[in-house]
Amino acid sequence: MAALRGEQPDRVPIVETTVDLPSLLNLAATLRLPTPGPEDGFAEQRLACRLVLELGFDGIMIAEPLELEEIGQDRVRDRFGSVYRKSLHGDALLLDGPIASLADLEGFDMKSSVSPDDFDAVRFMRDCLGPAYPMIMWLTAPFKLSWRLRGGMQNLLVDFVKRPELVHALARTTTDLLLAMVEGAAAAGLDAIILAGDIAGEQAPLFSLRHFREYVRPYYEEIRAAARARGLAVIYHSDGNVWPFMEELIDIGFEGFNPIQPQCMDIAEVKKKFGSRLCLVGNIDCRDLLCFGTEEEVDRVVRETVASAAPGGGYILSSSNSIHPGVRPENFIAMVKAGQKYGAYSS
Amino acid sequence: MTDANRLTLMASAVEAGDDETVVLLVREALAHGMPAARILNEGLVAGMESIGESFGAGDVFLPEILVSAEALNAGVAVLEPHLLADGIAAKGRVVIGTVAGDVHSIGKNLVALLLRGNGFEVHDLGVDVSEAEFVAAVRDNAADILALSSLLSATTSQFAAVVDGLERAGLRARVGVLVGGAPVTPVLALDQGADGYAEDCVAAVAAAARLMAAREET
Repeated sequence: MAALRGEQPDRVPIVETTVDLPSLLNLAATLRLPTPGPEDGFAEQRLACRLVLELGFDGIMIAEPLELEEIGQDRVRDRFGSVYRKSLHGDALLLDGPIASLADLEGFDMKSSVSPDDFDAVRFMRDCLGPAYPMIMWLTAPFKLSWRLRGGMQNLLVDFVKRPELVHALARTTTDLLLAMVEGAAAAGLDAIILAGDIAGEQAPLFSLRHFREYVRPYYEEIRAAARARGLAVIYHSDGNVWPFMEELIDIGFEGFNPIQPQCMDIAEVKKKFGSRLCLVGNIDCRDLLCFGTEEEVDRVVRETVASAAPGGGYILSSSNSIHPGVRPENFIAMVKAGQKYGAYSS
Repeated sequence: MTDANRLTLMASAVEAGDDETVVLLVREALAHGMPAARILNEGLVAGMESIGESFGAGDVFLPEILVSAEALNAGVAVLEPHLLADGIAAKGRVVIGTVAGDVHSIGKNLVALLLRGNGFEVHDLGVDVSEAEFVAAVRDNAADILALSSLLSATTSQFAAVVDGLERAGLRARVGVLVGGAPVTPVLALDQGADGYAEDCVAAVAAAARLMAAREET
């Protein structure tokens, strides 16, 4: 938490933003951790707690509640009515959303769906990890929630030009949900949230600065203000080349930025330009290095990244997106060990 | 209004993503006896090329190019029966999709829209498409070009799997394989057995045209 406050802790903190269930099981097998049986209602959470303690992490990331209801023919539906097909690889592929026009938003209320039950997993993990252990919840940002409701990002991007009123109405509904989630997260004892929604591709942002200021920024400011009022830090997550939006993200008041995708953002440059105003979280390449590299290469990249990003504080070591089934467990463990080896601050 | 003025306005309307004006101007141009091929190339495609350049230069973004591509297609839909009546065949038959394991669609959709807008017959199989589905679609549609998209580095190996599938089905020689997506480089395209690579949707149209020209030479 000191790193997020812009202070220099005693060493570079290590927190992995997302470890999916297959990867969690791979890691547990590699580390020979006992795996809870299916009769345990919080099996995944129990395993995640064991993993962060075993590896000596400095915080834990908690997934947002996602209830995907099976509706047959390999299809699932989320609590807001978006329908997904399970891909050949088990991912949920968005097929359709419940909102086609402004009329569909009349009486459409997302915030009432938030209940204390959504934070049961948080309370369970708090009990496992103790009152002082930093806990961060991953929350999907209004931009992404909006395109899920529209049945695809392409639809929302066309709306940016053709249906401004609909874009604002979607942002309003989804932001109200986020405000309720922030309140619930604070009540459940969380320390920070990651607000997640990609706003850039590898070459450029998905939309212009003008559209960012019109459709995105005002709603992010509301969420930031609500989080600050409840003592929660906010890390913004977007893959891609986010350079053109960095000043905006800092002006909004986000404490951290994740993941500084190494294919399109040089962390040394980001540190030089923004390091005094923003904590950087991530950057260890999970696309090639952690999948296909050797443990020695991982060690070298972590050493170089820590040397570029950590001086003076304000860096949290993490992968460049998530730990997915393509990542070699040995490489992830090498990343953590290298972080511990090179991350000590001398003063 | 002169023909030249009408074509200039049409190109501007495509650039602005104003599909209603595009449709109106295409109908007017047809009513004034302008050949469908000229309307397509000097009006609609000219407008799309112009916004494509702005996109490549980073001056406009996905929302603007998406609405332009929609406007282009609205115009093409009006033109299609006239192109057919004039005996102008499609520039080539394309099967397109995002490979198995990847669900990203926007880049692939833009390529499909632009190919269609540039006179290709396009069969879009969607996302997370298996090797077998690609092979079957190439066979069933007698495709000239197979365009494969992958935004994930982990799924670019699917390019080679699909190429192998085409080999096994005895279809490889009669179809040109074009690949694209964020992690794709010319070297990776070669390694995966593709015939061509495009870095963005505008380049994809040029690459498809080159593949067709190469096929006609052989």
